[in-house]
Amino acid sequence: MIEFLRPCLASFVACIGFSIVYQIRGKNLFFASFCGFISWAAFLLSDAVFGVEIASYFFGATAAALYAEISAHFLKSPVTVFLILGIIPLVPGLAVYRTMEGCLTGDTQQCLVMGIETLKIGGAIALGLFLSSTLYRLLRAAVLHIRYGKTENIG
Amino acid sequence: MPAKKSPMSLEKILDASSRIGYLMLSYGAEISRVEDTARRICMAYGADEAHVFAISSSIVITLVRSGETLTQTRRVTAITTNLDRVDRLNHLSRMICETLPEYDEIMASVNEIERRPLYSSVVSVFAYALISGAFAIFFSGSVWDMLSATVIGASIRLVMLLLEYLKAAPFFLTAAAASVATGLARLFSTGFGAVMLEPTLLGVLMNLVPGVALTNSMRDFIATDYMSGVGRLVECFFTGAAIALGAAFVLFWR
Repeated sequence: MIEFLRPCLASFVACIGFSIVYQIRGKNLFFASFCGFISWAAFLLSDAVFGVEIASYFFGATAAALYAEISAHFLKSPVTVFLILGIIPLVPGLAVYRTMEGCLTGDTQQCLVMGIETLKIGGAIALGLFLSSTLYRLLRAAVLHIRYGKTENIG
Repeated sequence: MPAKKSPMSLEKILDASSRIGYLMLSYGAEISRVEDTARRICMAYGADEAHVFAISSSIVITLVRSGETLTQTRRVTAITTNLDRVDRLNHLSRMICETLPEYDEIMASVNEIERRPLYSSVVSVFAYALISGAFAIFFSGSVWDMLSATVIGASIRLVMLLLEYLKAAPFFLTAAAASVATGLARLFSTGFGAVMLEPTLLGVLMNLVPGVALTNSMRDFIATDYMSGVGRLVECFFTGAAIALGAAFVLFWR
Protein backbone atom coordinates (compact mmCIF):
# COMPACT_ATOMS: atom_id res chain seq x y z
CA MET A 1 0.00 0.00 0.00
CA ILE A 2 2.79 2.41 0.90
CA GLU A 3 4.48 1.49 -2.37
CA PHE A 4 1.28 2.50 -4.11
CA LEU A 5 0.66 5.71 -2.15
CA ARG A 6 4.19 7.08 -2.13
CA PRO A 7 4.46 8.00 -5.83
CA CYS A 8 0.87 9.26 -5.84
CA LEU A 9 1.56 11.58 -2.91
CA ALA A 10 4.86 12.64 -4.50
CA SER A 11 2.97 13.51 -7.65
CA PHE A 12 0.43 15.47 -5.60
CA VAL A 13 3.15 17.47 -3.83
CA ALA A 14 4.96 18.14 -7.12
CA CYS A 15 1.69 19.37 -8.59
CA ILE A 16 1.28 21.83 -5.71
CA GLY A 17 4.62 23.25 -6.81
CA PHE A 18 3.47 23.43 -10.42
CA SER A 19 0.21 25.10 -9.39
CA ILE A 20 2.26 27.82 -7.75
CA VAL A 21 4.46 28.19 -10.83
CA TYR A 22 1.30 28.50 -12.96
CA GLN A 23 -0.12 31.06 -10.49
CA ILE A 24 -3.20 29.08 -9.42
CA ARG A 25 -4.77 30.58 -6.28
CA GLY A 26 -7.40 29.79 -3.67
CA LYS A 27 -9.24 26.48 -3.44
CA ASN A 28 -8.29 25.62 -7.03
CA LEU A 29 -4.72 25.17 -5.77
CA PHE A 30 -5.80 22.05 -3.91
CA PHE A 31 -8.27 20.68 -6.45
CA ALA A 32 -5.91 21.20 -9.38
CA SER A 33 -3.00 19.53 -7.58
CA PHE A 34 -5.24 16.63 -6.66
CA CYS A 35 -5.59 15.90 -10.38
CA GLY A 36 -1.92 14.84 -10.27
CA PHE A 37 -2.77 12.36 -7.53
CA ILE A 38 -5.75 11.01 -9.50
CA SER A 39 -3.89 10.52 -12.75
CA TRP A 40 -0.98 8.65 -11.17
CA ALA A 41 -3.29 6.54 -8.98
CA ALA A 42 -5.22 5.55 -12.12
CA PHE A 43 -1.92 4.78 -13.85
CA LEU A 44 -0.76 2.48 -11.04
CA LEU A 45 -4.17 0.81 -10.71
CA SER A 46 -4.30 0.07 -14.41
CA ASP A 47 -0.70 -1.15 -14.23
CA ALA A 48 -1.67 -3.59 -11.48
CA VAL A 49 -4.77 -4.81 -13.34
CA PHE A 50 -3.59 -4.99 -16.98
CA GLY A 51 0.18 -4.81 -16.68
CA VAL A 52 0.48 -3.06 -20.06
CA GLU A 53 2.38 0.20 -19.76
CA ILE A 54 0.80 1.94 -22.72
CA ALA A 55 -2.71 1.14 -21.46
CA SER A 56 -1.78 2.63 -18.09
CA TYR A 57 -0.87 5.94 -19.70
CA PHE A 58 -4.18 5.83 -21.54
CA PHE A 59 -6.20 5.22 -18.38
CA GLY A 60 -4.18 7.76 -16.41
CA ALA A 61 -5.06 10.42 -18.98
CA THR A 62 -8.69 9.26 -19.08
CA ALA A 63 -9.03 9.56 -15.31
CA ALA A 64 -7.33 12.97 -15.27
CA ALA A 65 -9.61 14.34 -17.98
CA LEU A 66 -12.73 12.97 -16.30
CA TYR A 67 -11.71 14.46 -12.95
CA ALA A 68 -10.87 17.78 -14.66
CA GLU A 69 -14.23 17.96 -16.44
CA ILE A 70 -16.15 17.18 -13.25
CA SER A 71 -14.24 19.66 -11.09
CA ALA A 72 -14.52 22.30 -13.81
CA HIS A 73 -18.27 21.82 -13.69
CA PHE A 74 -18.56 22.10 -9.91
CA LEU A 75 -15.92 24.79 -9.33
CA LYS A 76 -16.88 26.83 -12.43
CA SER A 77 -13.31 27.10 -13.69
CA PRO A 78 -11.75 26.21 -17.04
CA VAL A 79 -11.00 22.52 -17.55
CA THR A 80 -7.35 23.21 -18.39
CA VAL A 81 -6.66 24.60 -14.91
CA PHE A 82 -7.12 21.07 -13.56
CA LEU A 83 -6.07 19.07 -16.60
CA ILE A 84 -2.57 20.55 -16.94
CA LEU A 85 -1.65 19.31 -13.47
CA GLY A 86 -3.04 15.85 -14.24
CA ILE A 87 -0.95 15.54 -17.41
CA ILE A 88 2.37 16.56 -15.86
CA PRO A 89 3.10 13.31 -13.94
CA LEU A 90 2.23 11.35 -17.10
CA VAL A 91 4.83 13.19 -19.20
CA PRO A 92 7.30 10.43 -20.17
CA GLY A 93 10.40 12.08 -18.72
CA LEU A 94 12.33 8.83 -18.46
CA ALA A 95 11.59 7.82 -22.06
CA VAL A 96 12.69 11.21 -23.39
CA TYR A 97 15.84 11.01 -21.26
CA ARG A 98 16.70 7.55 -22.65
CA THR A 99 16.07 8.76 -26.20
CA MET A 100 18.51 11.59 -25.70
CA GLU A 101 21.01 9.31 -24.00
CA GLY A 102 20.86 6.84 -26.88
CA CYS A 103 21.23 9.58 -29.44
CA LEU A 104 24.29 11.07 -27.75
CA THR A 105 26.16 7.90 -26.86
CA GLY A 106 25.83 6.68 -30.46
CA ASP A 107 23.42 3.90 -29.44
CA THR A 108 21.05 4.44 -32.37
CA GLN A 109 18.95 1.42 -31.49
CA GLN A 110 18.17 2.70 -28.00
CA CYS A 111 17.49 6.15 -29.41
CA LEU A 112 14.96 4.83 -31.94
CA VAL A 113 13.29 2.39 -29.56
CA MET A 114 12.87 4.98 -26.82
CA GLY A 115 11.86 7.65 -29.34
CA ILE A 116 9.04 5.47 -30.61
CA GLU A 117 8.16 4.67 -26.99
CA THR A 118 7.85 8.41 -26.29
CA LEU A 119 5.60 8.92 -29.30
CA LYS A 120 3.47 5.93 -28.28
CA ILE A 121 3.01 7.34 -24.77
CA GLY A 122 2.17 10.78 -26.16
CA GLY A 123 -0.43 9.24 -28.44
CA ALA A 124 -1.93 7.19 -25.61
CA ILE A 125 -2.28 10.29 -23.42
CA ALA A 126 -3.88 12.29 -26.26
CA LEU A 127 -6.34 9.48 -26.99
CA GLY A 128 -7.21 9.16 -23.31
CA LEU A 129 -7.96 12.87 -23.06
CA PHE A 130 -9.94 12.79 -26.27
CA LEU A 131 -12.11 9.84 -25.27
CA SER A 132 -12.81 11.10 -21.78
CA SER A 133 -13.60 14.70 -22.71
CA THR A 134 -15.78 13.72 -25.65
CA LEU A 135 -17.77 11.15 -23.70
CA TYR A 136 -18.27 13.59 -20.84
CA ARG A 137 -19.54 16.30 -23.21
CA LEU A 138 -21.86 13.82 -24.89
CA LEU A 139 -23.25 12.68 -21.56
CA ARG A 140 -23.75 16.24 -20.38
CA ALA A 141 -25.51 17.20 -23.61
CA ALA A 142 -27.81 14.19 -23.19
CA VAL A 143 -28.62 15.17 -19.59
CA LEU A 144 -29.27 18.79 -20.59
CA HIS A 145 -31.52 17.61 -23.41
CA ILE A 146 -33.57 15.41 -21.09
CA ARG A 147 -33.84 18.11 -18.43
CA TYR A 148 -34.31 21.29 -20.44
CA GLY A 149 -34.97 20.16 -23.99
CA LYS A 150 -31.84 21.87 -25.27
CA THR A 151 -28.18 20.95 -25.40
CA GLU A 152 -26.45 24.26 -24.62
CA ASN A 153 -25.90 25.94 -21.27
CA ILE A 154 -26.68 29.64 -21.24
CA GLY A 155 -23.65 31.80 -20.49
CA MET B 1 -29.88 33.96 -25.66
CA PRO B 2 -31.85 37.09 -24.61
CA ALA B 3 -30.46 39.57 -27.15
CA LYS B 4 -32.06 42.59 -25.54
CA LYS B 5 -31.55 45.96 -27.22
CA SER B 6 -28.29 47.27 -25.82
CA PRO B 7 -27.05 50.80 -26.47
CA MET B 8 -23.41 49.76 -26.57
CA SER B 9 -21.64 50.85 -29.74
CA LEU B 10 -19.94 48.36 -32.02
CA GLU B 11 -16.52 49.83 -31.22
CA LYS B 12 -16.99 49.26 -27.52
CA ILE B 13 -18.19 45.68 -27.97
CA LEU B 14 -15.21 45.01 -30.19
CA ASP B 15 -12.80 46.64 -27.78
CA ALA B 16 -14.11 44.78 -24.74
CA SER B 17 -14.18 41.37 -26.45
CA SER B 18 -10.75 41.72 -28.01
CA ARG B 19 -9.21 42.94 -24.78
CA ILE B 20 -10.58 39.95 -22.88
CA GLY B 21 -9.58 37.57 -25.68
CA TYR B 22 -6.11 39.08 -25.87
CA LEU B 23 -5.55 38.78 -22.13
CA MET B 24 -6.78 35.18 -22.04
CA LEU B 25 -4.36 34.31 -24.85
CA SER B 26 -1.43 36.00 -23.15
CA TYR B 27 -2.14 34.22 -19.87
CA GLY B 28 -2.06 30.83 -21.58
CA ALA B 29 -5.67 29.80 -22.24
CA GLU B 30 -6.27 27.34 -25.06
CA ILE B 31 -7.21 28.80 -28.46
CA SER B 32 -10.66 27.26 -28.67
CA ARG B 33 -11.61 28.81 -25.32
CA VAL B 34 -10.38 32.25 -26.37
CA GLU B 35 -12.31 32.14 -29.64
CA ASP B 36 -15.44 30.84 -27.95
CA THR B 37 -15.33 33.47 -25.19
CA ALA B 38 -14.86 36.39 -27.57
CA ARG B 39 -17.64 35.14 -29.86
CA ARG B 40 -20.06 34.68 -26.98
CA ILE B 41 -19.45 38.19 -25.65
CA CYS B 42 -20.00 39.73 -29.11
CA MET B 43 -23.18 37.74 -29.73
CA ALA B 44 -24.55 38.54 -26.27
CA TYR B 45 -24.42 42.25 -27.10
CA GLY B 46 -26.47 41.69 -30.21
CA ALA B 47 -23.91 41.48 -33.02
CA ASP B 48 -25.32 39.89 -36.16
CA GLU B 49 -22.11 38.09 -36.91
CA ALA B 50 -18.89 37.67 -34.95
CA HIS B 51 -15.87 36.16 -36.67
CA VAL B 52 -13.10 35.38 -34.23
CA PHE B 53 -9.80 33.91 -35.29
CA ALA B 54 -6.95 33.32 -32.89
CA ILE B 55 -3.57 31.67 -33.04
CA SER B 56 -1.16 31.55 -30.13
CA SER B 57 0.42 34.87 -31.19
CA SER B 58 -2.52 36.91 -32.48
CA ILE B 59 -6.28 37.42 -32.30
CA VAL B 60 -8.52 38.95 -34.99
CA ILE B 61 -12.18 39.82 -34.40
CA THR B 62 -14.57 41.03 -37.07
CA LEU B 63 -18.02 42.24 -36.02
CA VAL B 64 -21.06 42.83 -38.23
CA ARG B 65 -24.18 44.64 -37.07
CA SER B 66 -26.87 46.11 -39.30
CA GLY B 67 -24.59 46.63 -42.28
CA GLU B 68 -21.69 48.04 -40.30
CA THR B 69 -18.45 46.02 -40.18
CA LEU B 70 -15.52 46.50 -37.85
CA THR B 71 -12.29 44.55 -37.38
CA GLN B 72 -9.68 44.67 -34.67
CA THR B 73 -6.52 42.65 -34.40
CA ARG B 74 -4.19 42.29 -31.44
CA ARG B 75 -0.76 40.75 -31.41
CA VAL B 76 0.34 38.60 -28.47
CA THR B 77 4.09 38.84 -28.08
CA ALA B 78 4.70 36.82 -24.95
CA ILE B 79 2.70 34.18 -23.09
CA THR B 80 3.13 34.25 -19.34
CA THR B 81 1.15 31.42 -17.80
CA ASN B 82 -1.26 32.67 -15.17
CA LEU B 83 -4.12 30.23 -14.75
CA ASP B 84 -5.63 32.26 -11.92
CA ARG B 85 -6.26 35.17 -14.28
CA VAL B 86 -7.53 32.86 -17.02
CA ASP B 87 -10.00 31.54 -14.46
CA ARG B 88 -11.08 35.04 -13.38
CA LEU B 89 -11.47 36.22 -17.00
CA ASN B 90 -13.56 33.13 -17.68
CA HIS B 91 -15.79 34.01 -14.72
CA LEU B 92 -16.03 37.59 -15.94
CA SER B 93 -17.07 36.63 -19.46
CA ARG B 94 -19.76 34.32 -18.07
CA MET B 95 -21.01 37.22 -15.98
CA ILE B 96 -20.90 39.57 -18.98
CA CYS B 97 -23.02 37.23 -21.09
CA GLU B 98 -25.60 36.90 -18.31
CA THR B 99 -25.94 40.50 -17.14
CA LEU B 100 -24.69 42.59 -20.13
CA PRO B 101 -22.92 45.29 -18.05
CA GLU B 102 -21.80 48.69 -19.39
CA TYR B 103 -18.44 49.13 -21.11
CA ASP B 104 -16.86 51.02 -18.19
CA GLU B 105 -17.97 48.31 -15.80
CA ILE B 106 -16.33 45.61 -17.95
CA MET B 107 -13.09 47.57 -18.16
CA ALA B 108 -13.10 48.18 -14.40
CA SER B 109 -13.48 44.43 -13.77
CA VAL B 110 -10.70 43.61 -16.26
CA ASN B 111 -8.42 46.14 -14.60
CA GLU B 112 -9.21 44.60 -11.26
CA ILE B 113 -8.26 41.14 -12.59
CA GLU B 114 -5.01 42.61 -13.93
CA ARG B 115 -4.20 43.85 -10.45
CA ARG B 116 -4.62 40.44 -8.83
CA PRO B 117 -1.55 39.42 -6.85
CA LEU B 118 1.20 37.19 -8.22
CA TYR B 119 3.34 34.74 -6.31
CA SER B 120 6.70 36.40 -5.70
CA SER B 121 10.01 35.18 -7.11
CA VAL B 122 10.98 33.88 -3.67
CA VAL B 123 7.88 31.69 -3.58
CA SER B 124 8.68 30.39 -7.07
CA VAL B 125 12.16 29.36 -5.90
CA PHE B 126 10.52 27.29 -3.14
CA ALA B 127 8.00 25.90 -5.64
CA TYR B 128 10.83 24.69 -7.91
CA ALA B 129 12.53 23.10 -4.93
CA LEU B 130 9.27 21.37 -3.97
CA ILE B 131 8.67 20.07 -7.51
CA SER B 132 12.23 18.73 -7.81
CA GLY B 133 12.17 17.00 -4.44
CA ALA B 134 8.77 15.44 -5.00
CA PHE B 135 9.66 14.19 -8.48
CA ALA B 136 12.93 12.70 -7.19
CA ILE B 137 10.81 10.58 -4.85
CA PHE B 138 8.37 9.97 -7.70
CA PHE B 139 11.17 8.47 -9.83
CA SER B 140 11.87 6.09 -6.90
CA GLY B 141 14.77 8.07 -5.47
CA SER B 142 15.99 7.97 -1.87
CA VAL B 143 15.82 10.70 0.76
CA TRP B 144 19.31 11.81 -0.31
CA ASP B 145 18.17 12.18 -3.90
CA MET B 146 15.24 14.23 -2.70
CA LEU B 147 17.45 16.55 -0.69
CA SER B 148 19.94 17.12 -3.48
CA ALA B 149 17.13 17.61 -6.01
CA THR B 150 15.59 20.22 -3.73
CA VAL B 151 18.82 22.18 -3.59
CA ILE B 152 19.39 21.90 -7.35
CA GLY B 153 15.77 22.86 -8.10
CA ALA B 154 16.10 26.04 -6.07
CA SER B 155 19.39 26.91 -7.74
CA ILE B 156 18.13 26.45 -11.30
CA ARG B 157 15.23 28.78 -10.48
CA LEU B 158 17.73 31.37 -9.33
CA VAL B 159 19.66 30.97 -12.57
CA MET B 160 16.41 31.27 -14.55
CA LEU B 161 15.39 34.41 -12.67
CA LEU B 162 18.75 35.97 -13.45
CA LEU B 163 18.47 35.07 -17.15
CA GLU B 164 14.86 36.29 -17.26
CA TYR B 165 16.05 39.58 -15.84
CA LEU B 166 18.68 39.74 -18.58
CA LYS B 167 15.91 39.03 -21.13
CA ALA B 168 17.43 35.79 -22.45
CA ALA B 169 15.58 33.95 -25.24
CA PRO B 170 13.29 31.17 -23.91
CA PHE B 171 15.18 28.46 -25.79
CA PHE B 172 18.47 29.51 -24.25
CA LEU B 173 16.85 29.93 -20.84
CA THR B 174 15.61 26.33 -20.83
CA ALA B 175 18.89 24.97 -22.19
CA ALA B 176 20.93 26.89 -19.61
CA ALA B 177 18.69 25.71 -16.76
CA ALA B 178 19.02 22.12 -17.99
CA SER B 179 22.83 22.38 -18.12
CA VAL B 180 23.06 23.86 -14.64
CA ALA B 181 20.76 21.12 -13.35
CA THR B 182 22.80 18.40 -15.02
CA GLY B 183 26.10 19.84 -13.88
CA LEU B 184 25.00 20.09 -10.27
CA ALA B 185 23.40 16.64 -10.34
CA ARG B 186 26.66 15.15 -11.64
CA LEU B 187 28.64 17.02 -9.03
CA PHE B 188 26.37 15.80 -6.22
CA SER B 189 26.27 12.21 -7.41
CA THR B 190 30.05 11.95 -7.74
CA GLY B 191 30.65 13.91 -4.54
CA PHE B 192 28.27 11.97 -2.31
CA GLY B 193 27.96 8.23 -2.83
CA ALA B 194 24.40 8.16 -1.52
CA VAL B 195 23.04 10.40 -4.29
CA MET B 196 22.02 8.70 -7.52
CA LEU B 197 22.24 10.66 -10.75
CA GLU B 198 19.09 9.53 -12.52
CA PRO B 199 16.25 10.24 -10.06
CA THR B 200 17.86 13.49 -8.99
CA LEU B 201 18.37 14.75 -12.52
CA LEU B 202 14.97 13.61 -13.80
CA GLY B 203 13.27 15.19 -10.81
CA VAL B 204 14.91 18.53 -11.49
CA LEU B 205 14.38 18.39 -15.26
CA MET B 206 10.63 17.85 -14.76
CA ASN B 207 10.53 21.54 -13.78
CA LEU B 208 11.24 22.48 -17.36
CA VAL B 209 8.53 20.30 -18.93
CA PRO B 210 6.17 22.48 -21.03
CA GLY B 211 2.99 21.28 -19.32
CA VAL B 212 0.72 24.13 -20.39
CA ALA B 213 1.77 24.02 -24.05
CA LEU B 214 1.38 20.23 -24.13
CA THR B 215 -2.09 20.19 -22.59
CA ASN B 216 -3.31 23.14 -24.66
CA SER B 217 -2.01 21.48 -27.79
CA MET B 218 -4.00 18.33 -27.03
CA ARG B 219 -7.11 20.35 -26.13
CA ASP B 220 -6.85 22.23 -29.41
CA PHE B 221 -6.55 19.00 -31.34
CA ILE B 222 -9.68 17.71 -29.59
CA ALA B 223 -11.50 20.92 -30.53
CA THR B 224 -10.43 20.15 -34.17
CA ASP B 225 -8.30 23.30 -34.31
CA TYR B 226 -5.38 21.44 -35.85
CA MET B 227 -3.32 24.49 -36.73
CA SER B 228 -3.15 25.76 -33.15
CA GLY B 229 -2.56 22.20 -31.95
CA VAL B 230 0.42 21.78 -34.25
CA GLY B 231 1.74 25.21 -33.26
CA ARG B 232 1.77 24.37 -29.59
CA LEU B 233 3.14 20.90 -30.26
CA VAL B 234 6.11 22.41 -32.10
CA GLU B 235 6.67 24.62 -29.05
CA CYS B 236 6.80 21.46 -26.92
CA PHE B 237 9.32 19.84 -29.27
CA PHE B 238 11.54 22.90 -29.16
CA THR B 239 11.43 23.03 -25.37
CA GLY B 240 12.23 19.32 -25.29
CA ALA B 241 15.15 19.89 -27.66
CA ALA B 242 16.40 22.74 -25.47
CA ILE B 243 16.32 20.50 -22.39
CA ALA B 244 18.12 17.71 -24.26
CA LEU B 245 20.74 20.11 -25.62
CA GLY B 246 21.43 21.66 -22.24
CA ALA B 247 21.58 18.35 -20.43
CA ALA B 248 23.68 16.67 -23.12
CA PHE B 249 26.33 19.37 -23.00
CA VAL B 250 27.18 18.53 -19.43
CA LEU B 251 26.06 14.91 -19.10
CA PHE B 252 28.55 13.51 -21.59
CA TRP B 253 31.40 15.82 -20.85
CA ARG B 254 34.19 13.77 -19.36
